[in-house]
Amino acid sequence: MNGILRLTLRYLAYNKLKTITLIMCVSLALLLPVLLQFGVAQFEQDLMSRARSTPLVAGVKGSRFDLALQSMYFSRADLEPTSMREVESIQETNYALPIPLTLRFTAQGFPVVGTTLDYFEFRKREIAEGTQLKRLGDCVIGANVAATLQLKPGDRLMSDPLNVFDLSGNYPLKMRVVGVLGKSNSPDDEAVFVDLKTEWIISGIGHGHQSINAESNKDLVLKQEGQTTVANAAVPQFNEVTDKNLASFHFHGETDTFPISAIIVVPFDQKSEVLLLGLYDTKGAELQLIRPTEIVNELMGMVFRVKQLFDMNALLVSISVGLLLALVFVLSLRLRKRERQTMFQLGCSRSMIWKLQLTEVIFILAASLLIVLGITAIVRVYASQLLRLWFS
Amino acid sequence: MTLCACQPDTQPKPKQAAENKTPVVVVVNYPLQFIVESLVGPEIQVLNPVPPDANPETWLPADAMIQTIQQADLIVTNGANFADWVKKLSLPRSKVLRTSLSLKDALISVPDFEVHSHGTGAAHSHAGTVAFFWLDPALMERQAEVIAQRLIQLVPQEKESITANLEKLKDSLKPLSQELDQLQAEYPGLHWFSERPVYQYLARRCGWTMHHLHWKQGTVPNESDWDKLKTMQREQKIPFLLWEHQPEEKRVEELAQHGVNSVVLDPLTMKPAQGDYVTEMQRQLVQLRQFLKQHQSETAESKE
Repeated sequence: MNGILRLTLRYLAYNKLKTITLIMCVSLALLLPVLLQFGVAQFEQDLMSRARSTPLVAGVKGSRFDLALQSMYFSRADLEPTSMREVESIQETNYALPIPLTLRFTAQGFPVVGTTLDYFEFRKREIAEGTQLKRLGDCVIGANVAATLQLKPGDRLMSDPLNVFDLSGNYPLKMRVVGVLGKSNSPDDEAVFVDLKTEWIISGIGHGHQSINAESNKDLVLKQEGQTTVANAAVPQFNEVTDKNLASFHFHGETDTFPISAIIVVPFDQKSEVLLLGLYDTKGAELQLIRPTEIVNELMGMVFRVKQLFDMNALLVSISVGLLLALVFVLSLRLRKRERQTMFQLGCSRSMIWKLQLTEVIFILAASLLIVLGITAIVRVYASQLLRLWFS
Repeated sequence: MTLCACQPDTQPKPKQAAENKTPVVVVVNYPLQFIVESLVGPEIQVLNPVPPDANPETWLPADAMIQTIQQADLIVTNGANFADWVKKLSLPRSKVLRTSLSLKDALISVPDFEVHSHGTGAAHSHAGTVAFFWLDPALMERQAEVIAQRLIQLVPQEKESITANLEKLKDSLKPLSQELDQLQAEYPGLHWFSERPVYQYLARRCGWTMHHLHWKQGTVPNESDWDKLKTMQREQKIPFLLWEHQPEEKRVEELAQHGVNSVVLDPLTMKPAQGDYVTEMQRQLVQLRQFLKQHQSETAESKE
């Protein structure tokens, strides 16, 4: 047996190119369906775990997929915003806790998520370093944001302008990083969390500026009407909230009308969930209330239909690779006819010669299998990161 | 008993209560502190974080206090943008009780609540909701009801005592209602000045009309302010100005020269030096009635 192995190895080592080509062919033919199966399973697991932990999502009627994916993954979808009034309405039903989300801005490319402290309790996110959001202008960053941007509590992070060519648009806000979230292997790792009100400042609904004294700031005063000082456009707005200027920040208009991208709705029990769904399942309702698990199931249904095509393709590829391998071995046997005769004349039995050929095939298949297992193991470890990289 | 009858038993379980710690309830002003303290005993710690010498409308807490507030079991806010810190701090919405939500049908919105301008644009006004609900005892009762309901969710074992205390509180507010009824009966249709929108709920209860001057606290009225006051006074025959705090003697004299008599009615956003909300408000209302009695001739002129 040792002799067969040694001869096989020597033969395969001598015919390097042929051996490598055969191993590659078999590996690729096996890898495609295995990775596809593994990737789809991981994708489903990722999607479903986030969806299962998000009972209901409310948003303006429109694309259900966009609403679900944006509220769970903070993807950019430019959804029509709803208002804080709807958040209050849900709260007043006493059926659920509404957690508002605003998802319009980015900071250094990472999504800025405006929400309330309830979000962290709901997702069970702990602060690994620093403190929780305290006031306007604060942000808490995900673990990956901190690692990528090399940020720690006490640093500053600038929001990105929506449109760099719109000089009259919203001004970027320099945010104070107060905390870094512990790693959760979820989209929260890649997000910058701010208070809802901070997001409204970024969008320009709220702002802070120096108080105008008609006597000492004559260059900034346009006119004086009774106790009302009318300032001109030269009054600079603060681009950072500090302890000193915090008091000057204010909002114009009623909070109830301020925009919200989506609302995570956490019903207090199953009955409340059904009642809530009933409330919003009417033609007149301005909001749609969706179950993310249903959306993910629909999404996975589509993915599985595509996967079936891939599986069919993989089957055909495997058959063709199998036939190709058979052809290669048959041709190889023909080419090695003289070699076999020599071995026979040297005293090798016919069975020994066939064992030798078979060992070659087994060796190539085993090597291919090892490669596939190795790659699968690596993919398994980094699956969620790879998937996120793929979809980002 | 009627408090919870119609409410679904669906609220999340109070975590703090389960851990046998004394629940902390944070309030934004003295009237709310008075309500909560009237409803509960030592089983709940009531925290009014505003220092005695600070204005609860504009006070902002320091970092340590922010954490204390965030960790409270319940944060009872007034609503209608009463406290600046509620708008500027990050708070867990699930723990915030906005009492104004229970008064939606009774809220008074003022069209010229705030006057300002942006850039080169002309000055314009924004509508706003008047925040001093408690000045109408009926609304204070409704605030107390919604607070009691939430407190029962926080400490269900205290349901009976909270319900009993709520009834006691309602009884204690009756003298204030009677005093206002008397004012309404004796002096209906009066017109009043005030510096800013504060007394609208009290005025509605008494059948009065308020006119606010947009005078900023601590600033001296200029010529144009006096002109505006004179014009309004001519048109509406307004003989009185209600002050939140004792004004300077000089200001009182200037107003008197313009035919406007001053009287103070502190809305008690801060704890009074003596007594509690009910005793102090009752004392002020009696004082107000005496003031009107002393100015019978002006009241007759002011009536519609």
